[in-house]
Amino acid sequence: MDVVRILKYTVLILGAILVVFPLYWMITGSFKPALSLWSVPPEWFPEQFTRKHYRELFDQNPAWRWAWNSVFTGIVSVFFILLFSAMAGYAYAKKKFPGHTLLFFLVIATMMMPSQVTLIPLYQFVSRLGLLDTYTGFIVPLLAFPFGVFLIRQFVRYIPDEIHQAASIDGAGELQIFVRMVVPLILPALGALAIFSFMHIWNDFIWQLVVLQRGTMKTLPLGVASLIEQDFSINYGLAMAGGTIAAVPLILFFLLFQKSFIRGIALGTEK
Amino acid sequence: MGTHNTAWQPRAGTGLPPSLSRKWKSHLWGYFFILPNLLLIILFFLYPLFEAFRLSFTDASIGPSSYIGLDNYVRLFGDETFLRSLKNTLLFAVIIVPVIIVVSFSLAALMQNIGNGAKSLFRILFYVPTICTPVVLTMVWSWMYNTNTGLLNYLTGLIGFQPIEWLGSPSTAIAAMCVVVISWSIGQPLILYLSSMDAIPKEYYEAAQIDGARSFQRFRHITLPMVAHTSLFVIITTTISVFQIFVVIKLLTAGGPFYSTETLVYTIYRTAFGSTQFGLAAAQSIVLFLIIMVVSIVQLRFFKADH
Amino acid sequence: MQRIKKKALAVWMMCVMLLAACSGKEAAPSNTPQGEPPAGQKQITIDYWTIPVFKNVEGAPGQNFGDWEQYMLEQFRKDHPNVKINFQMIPINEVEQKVTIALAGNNPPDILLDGLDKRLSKYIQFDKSEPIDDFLENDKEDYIESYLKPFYYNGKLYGVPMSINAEYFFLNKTIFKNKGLEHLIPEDRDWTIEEWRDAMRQVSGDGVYGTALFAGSEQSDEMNLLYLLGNGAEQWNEASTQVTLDQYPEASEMLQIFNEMVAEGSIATGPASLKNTDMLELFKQGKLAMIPWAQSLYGIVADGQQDGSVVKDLELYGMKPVHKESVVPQVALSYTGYTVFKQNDPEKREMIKKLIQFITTSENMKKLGQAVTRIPPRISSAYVTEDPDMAAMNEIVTTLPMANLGMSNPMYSDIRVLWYPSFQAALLGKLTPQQALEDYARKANEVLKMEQK
Repeated sequence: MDVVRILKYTVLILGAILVVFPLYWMITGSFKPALSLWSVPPEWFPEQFTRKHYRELFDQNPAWRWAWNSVFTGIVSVFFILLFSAMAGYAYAKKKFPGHTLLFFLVIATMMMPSQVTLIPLYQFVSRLGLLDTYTGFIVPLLAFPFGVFLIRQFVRYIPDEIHQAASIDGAGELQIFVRMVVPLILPALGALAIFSFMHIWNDFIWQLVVLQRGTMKTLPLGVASLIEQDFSINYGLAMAGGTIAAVPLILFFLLFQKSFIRGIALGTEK
Repeated sequence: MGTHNTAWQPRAGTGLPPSLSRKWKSHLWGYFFILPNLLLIILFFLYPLFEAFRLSFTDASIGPSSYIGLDNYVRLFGDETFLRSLKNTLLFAVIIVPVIIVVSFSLAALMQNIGNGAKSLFRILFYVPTICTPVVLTMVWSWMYNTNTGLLNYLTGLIGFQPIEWLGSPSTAIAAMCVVVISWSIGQPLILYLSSMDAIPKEYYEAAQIDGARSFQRFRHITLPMVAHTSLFVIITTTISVFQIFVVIKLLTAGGPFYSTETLVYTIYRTAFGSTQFGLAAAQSIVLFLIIMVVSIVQLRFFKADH
Repeated sequence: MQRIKKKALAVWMMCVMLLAACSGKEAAPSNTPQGEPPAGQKQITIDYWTIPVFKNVEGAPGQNFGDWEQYMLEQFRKDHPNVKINFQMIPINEVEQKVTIALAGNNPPDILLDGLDKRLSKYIQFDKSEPIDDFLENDKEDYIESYLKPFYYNGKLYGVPMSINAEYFFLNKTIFKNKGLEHLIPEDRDWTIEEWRDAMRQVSGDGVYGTALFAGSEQSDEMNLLYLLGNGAEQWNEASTQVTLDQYPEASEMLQIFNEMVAEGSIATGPASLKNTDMLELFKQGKLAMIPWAQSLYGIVADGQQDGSVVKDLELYGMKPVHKESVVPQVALSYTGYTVFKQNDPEKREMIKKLIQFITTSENMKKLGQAVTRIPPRISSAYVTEDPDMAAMNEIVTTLPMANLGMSNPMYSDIRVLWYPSFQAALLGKLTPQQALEDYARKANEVLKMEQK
C-alpha cells in the first residue's frame, strides 16, 4: 500500500510542478535583473533580488489606475451578471411560460458563439452609441453572460417545489420568494459564478483593447501588454512584473470564494 | 425529494383582478425575470450575429461595400488556407480534449483518499494557471521551448542530447502547443471531477465491497457512470474553448512552422485585420460558429445515448 | 456568514455604482486641462493616436514613451484653450488592428503617428486619408526629398515623416576582440558575402554564433531579405506590382548558403522558429557576433547597458548589408510619421494643421532624432551625434540606394505574411530553396492579381 501512496504523490507532485512552473518562473523572474531572466544555465532562484521592474511598473506608469479599472469594472460587472443570471436562471428553471424552452435554447446557443463573430459589429454598435472609451460602453455588452444563466438554472432545478408552495401559502409575493428564498439557496452557485465571470471579464483582452483607449481607462492586462512590446526590444522584466500583478488579484479573489466556488460547480453541473 | 417540475405559481386570491388567471400572472413574472438578460443577449449577441451574417454576404472592407451573395462562402471551400486551418483546428481538438479529460480525471482519482489539506493544495496549484494572463505565461513557455537558450534544451543537454528545435518542425510544434494548452486547461475539469467524485455516496462503494467487487471493478461500475455527466459537460466546454485558442498561437508560433499550427481563429484574425476583408472574415466566423454548434450537438447526442 | 457577506457586498457595490455613475459622466481625466473655451470660439476635439517611439527626449517632463508628445500637446493647448486633445498610445503590434477596427467603425482618430512606411498605402487605398500638402507649405524645401517621396500618392501628400530608421547590419566588436579576430572587421564597413561567411565561421563557437536568422513570425521579411537582395535578387518588379523573387537564382543561392551555415554552426540553430525579438535578445546577451537591425539599436544598447538589459561590454560597429562583389548593397528604411484621416470640418482641419506644424518644427525633430538615434527628415534638423559609429553610418546610409520592399503597394500587409512560411519551409528542408521561393511568389502574385481586378 505504501508504494502505491508514494507513486500517487509522485505523480501529483510532478504534475503540479509542470503546471505551476511557468507561473513560478514568471513570479521569480519579476524580481530578477533583465539579463538573468534567460540565462544559461537557468537561475532557479533569483541570485540578485531586484524590485526595479515593479518600481518601473508603478512609478512610470499608471499601473494603480489600471488595477483599479480592472477591479472596478470587474466588480460592477459581476454584480449585474449575478443579478440578471439569477433572475433568468430561476425563471427558466421554475417558470414554465410559453416559449421558455426555445428561449433557453437561445441562451445556450449564444454560449457557443466565438467572440470573433461579434467583435466588429459590436464595436461599431458601441461606437455609434457614442460609448467608446467609457466604463458604460465597456461593461454593458459584457453583462449578457449566458453561461451564468445556464449555471443558475441547473442549480435552481434542484430546489424542491414544496418550498415554493409553503412560501406562497404564507403569503409571499413573487419578488419576496425570489429574494428571501431562492437567492439564499443558490449562494454557492452565485459564488462560483462570481469567480467565473470575474475571470472572464478580467482576461477578455480583445474587447478591452478595442473599446478602451486612453491610458487612464486601460485595464491591467491591457496596460501591461502595452508596456511589453516596444520597438521589438521586449522588456521582459517588466512583462514578468506585469503578469504577476495581473494574476495576483485574481488568485486572491479565487481563494476568497473558493469554498462556494467548489460547491457551486458541483451542484451546478449535475444534470 | 419531492417534485421539481411543477411550475411555480402564485397562490390564489392574492387580490388581483380575477380576469388575470393565476397561470398567466405566473407567466408574466417569468417574462419579467428573464427580461434583463434576454434584452442584453438580443442587443449584444443576436444583433451583432445578425450583422456578421449580413456582412458575410458582402465584400466589406474599410469603406463602401456591396453585396456579393454567397461568393465568400464559395470561396472558402476552395481556400487552401481556410481548409488547412480547419484541419489543424480539428486536429488540436481531437488531441487536446481527450487528453484533458483523461488527465484531469486521473488526477482527480488519484486525489481521492489523500488528506484534505493536501487535496486543497493540489487543487489550487492545478487551477492557478487557468487564471493567469495567457500573454505572459506564453512568454515563459516560449523561452522554455527556445532552441538556443531554452530550459528544455538545457535539461535535455544535461543528459547528452543535442538541442532540439521544438517549435521548428510541425509535429513537435503541434505537440508543444498542445502541452501548453493542456497545462492551463486541466484546472477547471479537475475541480469538477473532484466535486462529482466527492458526491458519490460512500455506501455504494461499501455495498460493492461487501459484494466482493475488487477496486478496479468498483471503479468501473460505480465511479465512471457517476461522473459521466461531468464528463459530458467537460467535453463540450473544453471543445468549445479549444476551437477558440488564439493568443497562444499568435505568440508562440505565429501559425507556423509552415502553417502547421494555424487555427481557424488565427485565420479569421488575419483576414479581418491583416487583409481587412471583413466580409470574408465574417463568413469564416459564421462557419466556425456552425461547426462548433454541430460538434456540440453531436457530442450531446452521442454521449447521452450512452446512458 | 454567507448572508452577511452578501449584504455587505451588495451595499458596497451600490456605493461603487453610484460613484461610477457620477464619474462615468465626466469620464476619466483627459490629458489636457479642462476649461471653458473663451467666448465666441468653438470647442474643438482632436483625437491623437500614437505608437511608442519617442522617449528620453530632451525637455520632456518624463522619460517614458509618449511623455514628450503629451507635453507638446499641453503646450499647444495653452495657446489654444478651445482645443481638447484626446491622447492615446497603442502598442506597435496592435496598432494595425486597432486602426483598422476604428476605420471600419467610421471612427478613426484625427491624427495618427505610426510606422507609415508599412501601413499608409493601406489607409490611403480606402480613401480615408486626408491630403495634407498645405501642412508643409512653408517648409517643404527643408525636407529631404527622398524621405518625403513615399508619402505621395497620385501627386498628393498624405503624411509627414517624423523620423527615419535605417536598417543595416551591426557587429558586436567586443566578441571579435575577445577572440583575437579584430582583424576581420573591415574599416570600410563593407563585406562581400564570402568575407562575411568566412568571418561568421571563425567567430562562432563557445556559446557564440556568428549571427541568427529568424523565420518565426511575420516580422521575418525585411532584414532577412536584405541578404537575398545583397546577393543580387530583387523582391519586386520596378512598379511594385509583382513579386519576382523566384526569378533570381541569386535568391535560392542565398537560401542554400543559409542552410549550409546553419549546418556548420555559424548561424544559430533553430532559425525556423526564432523570432526577431529572440534574435535581439541573443544579441543583447552577447551571444551573437552580428545582427541586422535598425539604427535605433544604438539607443537600445546604450539604454540597455544602463538598465541592465544589455551586457556591459558590447561595442557596436555598423556595417553595410553584405553583398555580392558586383552588387551595391541596399538599405531598408523605416518611417515613422503623422497621417491625418478625412476631415469634414474646415475649422478643425485648420487646428490640426497648426498642431502638426507646431510639433514638426526643425528644433523638435532634431531633439527627437537624437533621443532615439534615428534620422530626422529635415535638413536643418541634422544633428551631430556623439556616437562616432552612428555618425559614420549615417553618412554611409545617405549614399546607399533604398531597397524596394513593396511597401508602396496597398497589399503589402497581405503579401508580407506570406513570406515566413515559405522561408520556414526552406530552412527546415521541407522544400528546396527554389521551391520555397516559387511557393512564395505564386501565393503573393495570386493575392496581387485578385486585388488588381
